[in-house]
Amino acid sequence: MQLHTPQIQQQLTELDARIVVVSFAPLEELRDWVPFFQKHFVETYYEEQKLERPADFFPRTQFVTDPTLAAYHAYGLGRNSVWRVYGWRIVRAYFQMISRGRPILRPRADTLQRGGDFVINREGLLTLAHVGRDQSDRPNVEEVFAALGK
Amino acid sequence: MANPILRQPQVGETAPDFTLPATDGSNITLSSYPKPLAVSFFRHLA
Repeated sequence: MQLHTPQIQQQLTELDARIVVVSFAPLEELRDWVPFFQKHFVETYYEEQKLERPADFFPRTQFVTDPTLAAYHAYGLGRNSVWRVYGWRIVRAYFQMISRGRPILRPRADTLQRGGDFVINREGLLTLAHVGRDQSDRPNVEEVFAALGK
Repeated sequence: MANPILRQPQVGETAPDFTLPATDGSNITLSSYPKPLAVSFFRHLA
């Protein structure tokens, strides 16, 4: 969500950088999810911060699907353990989301499938390769921008 | 569901290429996509 704030969009523009979000959900499900995500997470932020709504909330972002997991596997992203996915840290994080009024959808897919964050420079080389130990373990924005600038 | 043995690419290596369909109807091929680029692989949608 942080990557869609005005400040971050400005930094992306200055670097001429882009974002690709990969999901293993079917394309139609992802098409339905993007406006849901925009309404409940991105627009909510803009409203809370009293920011002007842009014409396009995701001007430098593409959402793509990988239902066969071929790209996931190419990036080393297999399945995580049950203990890491459903441990107390994650349960606490979900309670925090609920307390902030963020809706939680019932998952319809493999909840053990890992995610990860990567940054690729103009030469096609990886400058960031982060596979978290659990879903709360993601690089912070500063790390991502440091890698985008390399 | 079996967990395949996978190798994670490292910093400094060439990013593995892929071509995937996007929600806007286009196909995104990583190797020809403008860079620099942040690629975020999601877990299940929530």
